[in-house]
Amino acid sequence: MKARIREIGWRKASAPALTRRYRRFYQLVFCGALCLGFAAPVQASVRAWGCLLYASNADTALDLPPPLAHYDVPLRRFLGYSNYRVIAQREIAVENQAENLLVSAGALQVLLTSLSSSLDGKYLVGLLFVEGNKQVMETQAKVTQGSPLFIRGPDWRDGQIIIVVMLAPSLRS
Amino acid sequence: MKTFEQKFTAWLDGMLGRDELLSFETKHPALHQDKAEYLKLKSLLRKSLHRRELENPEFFSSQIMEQIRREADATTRSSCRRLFGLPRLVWGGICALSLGLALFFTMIPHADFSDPRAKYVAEVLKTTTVDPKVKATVENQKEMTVIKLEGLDKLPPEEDLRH
Repeated sequence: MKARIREIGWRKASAPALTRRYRRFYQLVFCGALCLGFAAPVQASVRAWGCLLYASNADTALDLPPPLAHYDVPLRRFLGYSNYRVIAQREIAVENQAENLLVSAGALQVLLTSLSSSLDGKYLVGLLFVEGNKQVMETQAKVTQGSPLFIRGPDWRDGQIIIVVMLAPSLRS
Repeated sequence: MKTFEQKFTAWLDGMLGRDELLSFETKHPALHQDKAEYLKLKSLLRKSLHRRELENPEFFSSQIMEQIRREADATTRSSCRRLFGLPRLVWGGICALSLGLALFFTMIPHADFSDPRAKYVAEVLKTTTVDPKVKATVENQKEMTVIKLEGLDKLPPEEDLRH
């Protein structure tokens, strides 16, 4: 009986300490979650987007993807085609330095061979354009997030294939 | 530095040093009459009142200590209220918010990046082609950079690029 009373007394006395300990534990969990929440976007901050456009002067509607929505006038002016249609597009999260397939259609493939940030806050990207088993062109360019690089590819049907590569924080909105 | 009250009580009790006594008495000559009255009253009280030992001196000291504690608490609480009063907090919040907004609008560039003319244009550093027939030339335009590949074979029209 005495032992029981002592136990109840001990429980009552240690209750605030336990509550404090639980509160501290939940505070730590909250801080950890907060840190992870901030760290996650930093890790997945660089995303690469690749697109293959079919440019022609056919009498069809313009079908530019959202990242190129404001490029309708420059594209028409500089490439000389009035209509653009998306053949393939893909967005990848660049997580390692290995060769990443950015976008492909038929025998055409565009690979991201390297990606590194430069001192001026821009990115150095390495691209490889492959047709079938044949390497066509390798290029290195300095870009920023949201500045696309256009490559005039092979002719197809009545038009031409245009390759677009761009780095973006997130294009999945 | 002693206050007037400290010097005055010490003077009444005859506890002032020689120099202090001289300077105090020359500064306040009118107080001599007060002192005389005080001494008269003191002697009168001594004669008429009998000295009585307090039965419970701890009671008085505890009362005094409680009073001191209460006063100290009230001072701390009032100083806290002065520091973190509601109007101050509101003004502090408004100031912090305006500072944050000012920094946001001045330090962070907020150009329309969807406009091709307002942003950096990709810069091609190097291009190499494996096939000598294929030639890559870079066209740097004001709003876009284009790599032009010449000499590529035309893709067969029947090739379905959508798969």
